[in-house]
Amino acid sequence: MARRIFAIVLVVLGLGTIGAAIASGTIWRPDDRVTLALAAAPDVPVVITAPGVLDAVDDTVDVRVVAADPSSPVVIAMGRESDVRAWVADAPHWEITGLADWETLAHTEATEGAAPADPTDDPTDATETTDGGEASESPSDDAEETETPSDDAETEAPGDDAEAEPLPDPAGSDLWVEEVTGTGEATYTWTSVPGRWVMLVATDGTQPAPQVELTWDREVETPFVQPGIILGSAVTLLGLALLVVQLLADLERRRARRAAARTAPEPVVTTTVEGDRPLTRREIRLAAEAARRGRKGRSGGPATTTDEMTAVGAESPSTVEASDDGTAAPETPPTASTPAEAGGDELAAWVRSGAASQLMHEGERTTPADLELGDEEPTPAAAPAPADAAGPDEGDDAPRRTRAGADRPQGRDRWWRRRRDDAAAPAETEQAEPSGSDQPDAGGSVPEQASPGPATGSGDTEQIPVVRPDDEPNPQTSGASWRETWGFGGTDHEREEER
Amino acid sequence: MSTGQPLRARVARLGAVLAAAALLVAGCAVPLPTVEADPPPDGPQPALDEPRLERVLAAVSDALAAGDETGDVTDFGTRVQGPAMHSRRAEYRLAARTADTDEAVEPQVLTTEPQVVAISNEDEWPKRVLVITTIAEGMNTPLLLGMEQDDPRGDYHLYAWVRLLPETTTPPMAAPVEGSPDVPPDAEGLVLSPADTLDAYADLLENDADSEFADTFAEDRFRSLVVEDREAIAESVEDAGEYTEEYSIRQFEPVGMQTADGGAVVIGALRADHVYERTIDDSELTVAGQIAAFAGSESIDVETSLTARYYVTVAFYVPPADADDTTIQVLGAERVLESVDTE
Repeated sequence: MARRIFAIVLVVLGLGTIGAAIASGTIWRPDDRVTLALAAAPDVPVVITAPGVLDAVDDTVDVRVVAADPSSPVVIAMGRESDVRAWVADAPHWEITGLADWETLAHTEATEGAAPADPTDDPTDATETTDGGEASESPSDDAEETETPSDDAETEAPGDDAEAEPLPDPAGSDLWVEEVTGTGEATYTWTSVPGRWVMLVATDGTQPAPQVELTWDREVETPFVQPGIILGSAVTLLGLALLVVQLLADLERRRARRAAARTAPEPVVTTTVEGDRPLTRREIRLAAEAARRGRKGRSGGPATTTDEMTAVGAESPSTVEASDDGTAAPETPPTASTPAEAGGDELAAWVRSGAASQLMHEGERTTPADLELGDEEPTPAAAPAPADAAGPDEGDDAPRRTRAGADRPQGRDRWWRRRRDDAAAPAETEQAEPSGSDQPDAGGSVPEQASPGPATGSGDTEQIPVVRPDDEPNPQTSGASWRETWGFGGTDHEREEER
Repeated sequence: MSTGQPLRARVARLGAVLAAAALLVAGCAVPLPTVEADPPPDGPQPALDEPRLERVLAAVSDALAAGDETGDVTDFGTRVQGPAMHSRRAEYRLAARTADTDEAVEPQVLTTEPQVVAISNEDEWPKRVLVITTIAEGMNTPLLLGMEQDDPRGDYHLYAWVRLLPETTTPPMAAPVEGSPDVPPDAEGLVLSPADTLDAYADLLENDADSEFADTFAEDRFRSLVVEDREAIAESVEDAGEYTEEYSIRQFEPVGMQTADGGAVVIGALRADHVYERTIDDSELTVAGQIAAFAGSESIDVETSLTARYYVTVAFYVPPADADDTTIQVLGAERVLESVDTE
């Protein structure tokens, strides 16, 4: 179920990403033309722009100034920075220092007596302090900052005289390279030229300066459209693939179940195919049935071991025994004989389901090769093989990897082995069923049996052809150590969860 | 869980997808450009570029035209100040008073059409511009205009002008695009500082060959005219009294601008007092001509003394102290009768 949900989530996310990508290039596409204005109408007679502001966005800027009083004259003047600053001197003024956001111009405020020299240094500070839409607030802080240096400057500079004089009407000054005047409103288009140019905006030098709007064309990139669509598609496809795999797997399972139901009274075989949860529950149920059936006649070596297992807490010995039985003498115990028969069915089921499971793993791609082996082991038969394979692999890789590395795979092994336990449980059930005696025990203590005994046992039977030579010691030892340290707890937990 | 996927890996994958989506949304915001100003200019910049200079000259021309029309210097506004305004006012007055006489004097024809321009490249105010104009219609010599902007909020105004003397070669000036340094009145490195130059020339005008600066200045047409004039007048009045001329510096600072060779063009204003004194009893000392016309009569009988005050503007080329030829040249001069006082 979780996988399916995950797959669906992937599909939804992928589609969402595609949609967002397309939207980012269409309905969410930012405007090509932006107009920025001061956060508030100035309360000082002059507003200037710092050098570089006018061509910050584009080489050509459209300036529009609107006076609070529609009948008051307005002036837009362009001048060299040195000239404009000299003209403004220590008069209170605002200086536009940059863009606070895409709607607001950042500015600093120089109050009465601000030294003309300071503003040159301000822009850097200003841009830091005036950020975001809070431009209206932060500038005031700046003003305080600029005020302090201004006090010093006042004492030095002959600012007192200039202070006393009101600003003259800036219109008509010889300093301005260009000048536009109007009544109430004026517009001006400026195209960038090299140099430090400053724009000065004012009414008549005494009234508050007009509001300033700067309009640029801006380059709007839609960098997320293509990658977004690609990414979204990939995610969607991934999700779809997962879904399909899931559905196929389900189909397979159902078909196998049906087939098993038709052919043999022991559909258990099919259940062994998958280690999935529903199956395990099912197994449990089946196991329970089997147990009922099995109670009628207990017999055989495994029976004794299972008996021991049923006694609570006797898990470890039982498992050990089981494993021993399974590995050391796969043929001797009754289980062994049954596996041989069941082996045919299992193999068929494994072949069928194995394909699906492999696909799935391809789809998921997350686990390294070793683990994939482990993952592939939903089928009890396959499970041991990877376990064994993992063992030898580790051995082979050992030279390359450090011991820690070797340990890790073991840990992972544990993890999949745990699962294999689940799988093993069904395996047992199969095996048990024929024997009859095992089943009840299995039902009672599925987890216990699950991990060690049946897994290895069934694995052996199947894998013998494949990996046998090195396998035997490894699975045993690793399995045993695992059992001793973590295995029981682990299996128990798993069982609990599953139940 | 029965799925083979470790939870962590899955969460990570989900996180990655979510992050991508978040990026997408964030992508709607175009990054704010930062303000990148050009670096400040390396060297000094001329105070005016050509378009602005033309504008300034046109404004001055307009102001002069306005004043010429009414004969009232207040119509200059702020565009003509200092010595230029004073001499122009004198010209208007003289023209007005002599208009109906034989001595009718027209105000100087002034033009602002530039021929050679030197622009100050100082950072500080006042900023100055020297313009050698073309020869205006009805004139036979170009003008040298000195213009100045006292402070950033003020206008450039005509500060002083002189007619260039005939056969005068003006010193080469630095290109306007580079600008020229100002030469303060007390500048060193010149044969004489601008202020000293003016002082010396005043002394020279007054004493001619007896002046200690006689060798410092090259001969110039203006001075020779002044001297000739003075000798003639002195001779004509010697039966009745004395005629003396006193030259002194006006309150206006001389304006200096460096030439290409490190010298300076200096424009300064002088006051010339021509004093007619009747020193011999029972004699008659009559002053006629322009002075009388200025006073509103055909001739003036001088009781004790008569002082005719002239406004004199002189332009010099002061070579650098280490020049081969260290004689100061007079480039041009202007003289206008300013007032007549009788006692």
